[in-house]
Amino acid sequence: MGNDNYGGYNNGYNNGGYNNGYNNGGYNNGYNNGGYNNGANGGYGNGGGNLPMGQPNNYLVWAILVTFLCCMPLGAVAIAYATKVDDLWEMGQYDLARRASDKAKTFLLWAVGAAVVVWICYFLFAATMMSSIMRSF
Amino acid sequence: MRRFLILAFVALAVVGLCLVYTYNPESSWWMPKCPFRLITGFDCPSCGNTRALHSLMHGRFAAAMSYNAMAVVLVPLAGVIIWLCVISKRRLSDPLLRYLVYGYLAIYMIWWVVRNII
Repeated sequence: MGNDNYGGYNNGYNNGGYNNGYNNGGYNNGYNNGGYNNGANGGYGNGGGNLPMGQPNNYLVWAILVTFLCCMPLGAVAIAYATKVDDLWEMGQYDLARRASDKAKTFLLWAVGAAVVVWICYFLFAATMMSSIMRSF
Repeated sequence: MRRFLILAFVALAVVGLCLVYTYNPESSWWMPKCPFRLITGFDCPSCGNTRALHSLMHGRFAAAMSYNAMAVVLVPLAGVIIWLCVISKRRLSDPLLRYLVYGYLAIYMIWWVVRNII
């Protein structure tokens, strides 16, 4: 298993963190499984402890998309948290990195949710206005 | 699943582009408006992108620039960042991606303030 290397390499945290996070995390774990399975898998095969299995998702792509499609200020906060995820991970603070990942996701969901609610309200309002204008002619 | 999502996204983008080409966002009430602007009345950094795109598709460059001048910088920058993340799978430990994101965030914030003052 490629992931068994993790325990050994992580002491040299700059190089180890970079290479492992890049190859393993980026491809297999980081994207699909993101912040979900990490906690559950944390202790297996590595002799207890809280050793990381994959870099948590930083949701950077979604954050960027939200900033220019939904125009919500919350998207900018999500970008800030996205940068924090990878920073904390490189420093070896895996729990904090996962928490930042969850925070980024929360802000994204709030941003999209708020945009959708405003759009629906606006749409209903505009539609009733239009229909009443049409009827008056 | 991932491939399906990307495919759905591309299809949605094509439909969106056709709609933006056919209908003028300025005069059709059902076009999605910026929620931030609907609530506060202030422009957000990407307000006017749809109108600018519509003008651009009809070859009116001056009008496009007047709707959102910074879109010329912000949209390609966002495109490059998304490309680096999705296609070449870089994390933020990569200095290039990191500085692009910081630059994007800085321009975004400054433009937000500046365009509401001018």
